[in-house]
Amino acid sequence: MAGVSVPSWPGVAASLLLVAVAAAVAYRQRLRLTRELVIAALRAGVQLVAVGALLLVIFARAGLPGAAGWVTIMILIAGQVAGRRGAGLPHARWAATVGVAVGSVTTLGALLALGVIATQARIVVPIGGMIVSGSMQAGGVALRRLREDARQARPAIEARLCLGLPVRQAFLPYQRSAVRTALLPAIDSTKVVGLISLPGAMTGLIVAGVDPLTAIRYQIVVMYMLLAATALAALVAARLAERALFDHAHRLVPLPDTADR
Amino acid sequence: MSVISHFGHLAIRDATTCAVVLVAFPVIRTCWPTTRIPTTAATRCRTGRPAVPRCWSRNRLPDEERTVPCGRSAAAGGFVLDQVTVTRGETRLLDAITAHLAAMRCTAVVGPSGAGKSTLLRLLNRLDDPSSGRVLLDGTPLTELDVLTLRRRVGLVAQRPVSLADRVVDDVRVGHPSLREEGVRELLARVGLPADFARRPTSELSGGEAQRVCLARALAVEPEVLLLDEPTSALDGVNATIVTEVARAHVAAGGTVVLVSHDFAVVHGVADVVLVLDSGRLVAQGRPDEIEYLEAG
Repeated sequence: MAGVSVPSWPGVAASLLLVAVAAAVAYRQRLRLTRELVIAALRAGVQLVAVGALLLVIFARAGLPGAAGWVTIMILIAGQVAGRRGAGLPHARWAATVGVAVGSVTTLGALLALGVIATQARIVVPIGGMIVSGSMQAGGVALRRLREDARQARPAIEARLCLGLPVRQAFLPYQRSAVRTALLPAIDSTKVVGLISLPGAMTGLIVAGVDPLTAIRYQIVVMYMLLAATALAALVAARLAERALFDHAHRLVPLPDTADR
Repeated sequence: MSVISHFGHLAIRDATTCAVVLVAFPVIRTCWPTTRIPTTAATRCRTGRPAVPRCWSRNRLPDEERTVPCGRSAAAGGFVLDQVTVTRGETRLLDAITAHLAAMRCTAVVGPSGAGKSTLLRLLNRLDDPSSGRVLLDGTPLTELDVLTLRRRVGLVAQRPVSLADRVVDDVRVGHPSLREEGVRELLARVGLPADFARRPTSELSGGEAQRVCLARALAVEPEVLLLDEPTSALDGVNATIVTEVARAHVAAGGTVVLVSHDFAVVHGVADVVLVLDSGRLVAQGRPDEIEYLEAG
């Protein structure tokens, strides 16, 4: 990778000018976003520097166990973020964390077991990051949808329960709808990949000097793995949320009126 | 134990035997709480649908017994609410209600809005549990019954009609998926809807039509007990009469109806017993002609 062209630190500092452009637009248009925009830009810089340094240490010294630890931390953080999307559902964070964990570990494990990706920290961490991120979005969307349905469709759910249907059957239409909603973005982006956007992994490899026909091999694997991860994360999170939504007597538990987040 | 077996063998012979069994089982249960009652037929008499018409046919009972709300046979079955209280936060929705909702009768629950009528209905199929007190069906606490079986025995038609499928025929079949379209048409006829309604999209139904489709959907499961929450609220006089007829026919066939209604004509037309609730308390009960609240309304 000797020929990789990477911006120098002065170059990075110069790109701050672009933040200034955005801040100027926000200020002139009175969007009340200038402060938030500047903080976000600085925060991104600090976070990435810290992560870069940490990854450097992990790749150099901690190896595969360090990578596994890093992926675990990502899963825990992602679970909290996705769980907030289902705020108001009982045990939403637990459902989200387990969903993200199952989606990520299964997908990453399969890629490693099949020898599709190398068992090196520098591969496992970024690929794991993509998988965890996809799982997080799917789990969050599924929980958010379930929460809305559990609130709005209570009369219909109870009408089904009144006919003697067990929870699984009474809630099935909403369960399906939640998993479907969570999967659609992944399916859509898989459909149009390369046509509308050149995705991250492929772009990165091309920038790093890999020829495009080789770069797409990675991207194909990435798209396929994201489908599996999102499907598993959404399904597991939705199932766990369903269990928490109903009690032993097949009743929908009362839900607090929490603000939409 | 030989006494128990004796009852078991006799159980299905005739209605008299059945009545004896219904009296004897609570006694046996009380004296020997761990006793397993061995006869399926006898248990069916007490709890199951197949035995109901034979054991409980209302038409076989002498008239004077039919009109006494707590007559012997009615006392043997139905719901008993024993000091039932339901609280939500600081509010008491039901306050120490003790009442008997007899089997093979239509019991109407009336009272002003917010009196706790719908809350009471929801206790009877365990959509809610009481905060304290017990609800029993045919002598057994509801908490000891399998809740899914209970809900198939005790069908609830909620006040607000909700469609569960795109077409009426599928909507009626939600609780009974193997029901043929012919069966759906018969159910629709029972609730006064023409046969071609089966193919209609549920989104095109008026409020009153949707209410009757919900009633047909509940009937499709063939429940022993029908809980009707304001079943005529969206119906005009003629169609309200149809619902009254359905309730009456259900009771005549040996079933039980518990009706919540603000429509006093319906209550007078179908109820054997009326319970009056006010602010969660049971303030009066008796035959419709004995209830001042109905006259005042």
